[in-house]
Amino acid sequence: MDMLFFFILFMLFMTGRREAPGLYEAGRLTLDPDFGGLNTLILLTSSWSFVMAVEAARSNRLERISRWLIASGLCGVAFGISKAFEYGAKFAAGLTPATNDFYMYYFVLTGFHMLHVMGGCVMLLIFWRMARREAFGPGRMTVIECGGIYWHMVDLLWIVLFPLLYLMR
Amino acid sequence: MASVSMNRAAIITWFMLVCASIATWLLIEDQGLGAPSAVSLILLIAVVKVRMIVLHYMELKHAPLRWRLVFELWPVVAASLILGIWFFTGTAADCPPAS
Repeated sequence: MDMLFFFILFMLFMTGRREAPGLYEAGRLTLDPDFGGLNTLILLTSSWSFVMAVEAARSNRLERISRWLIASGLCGVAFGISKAFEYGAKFAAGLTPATNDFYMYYFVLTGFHMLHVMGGCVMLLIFWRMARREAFGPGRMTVIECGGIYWHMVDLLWIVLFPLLYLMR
Repeated sequence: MASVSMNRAAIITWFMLVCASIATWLLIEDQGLGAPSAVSLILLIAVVKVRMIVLHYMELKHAPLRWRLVFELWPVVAASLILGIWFFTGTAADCPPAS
């Protein structure tokens, strides 16, 4: 569902860009690709940490699960802090979703993605508590594996979102 | 031992994803490359990265075909349509800045 939702938003963005390419390009040039690239690395590292947590559960190394989940969650928090700085700079420059269509799409797409990251961080916190109660382990993998699919989906959405908004000239 | 090799596979996947991200960064730094080539390559790298995450991190290579198809087709269809519309529009870099 979420992937279909983002798919539709991507297509709306591209058709909007067709009508006013100059406006979209001017907007894109105000975005900092270094911020976006850093966010990519943060999410990739977070995904890897989650994989390590799942592997720890699968191989019955229960004490390691919560540690990897914390690492994954901290990456999610780092992503949020980075986004807060990015939004802060845009608002300080007077750029809001009402500025023009490009910024409307920029805030809607990155905002919905950020909500997914925040939801994922809450999920990681719950999983961390569950891991401490030894709720995960061999034969008790379904919940953590499904959570992993969600968290990796958040990562892969960003991988398409980043070039779409920040890089396509 | 199986776990050790899985852990190694996970870090190798992470390393390749980081290398792909650096390749994207080099592409946007390279001003000599034409916009159509740069945009095509950037989207191709994104599709490859998504596929690596789907197969190795989501572990969908072991999933039922129906689920695997959804997650394999999504990036290909999304990137193809994005690229198709981009070519239809052309590069925006030459457009006069909008007010």
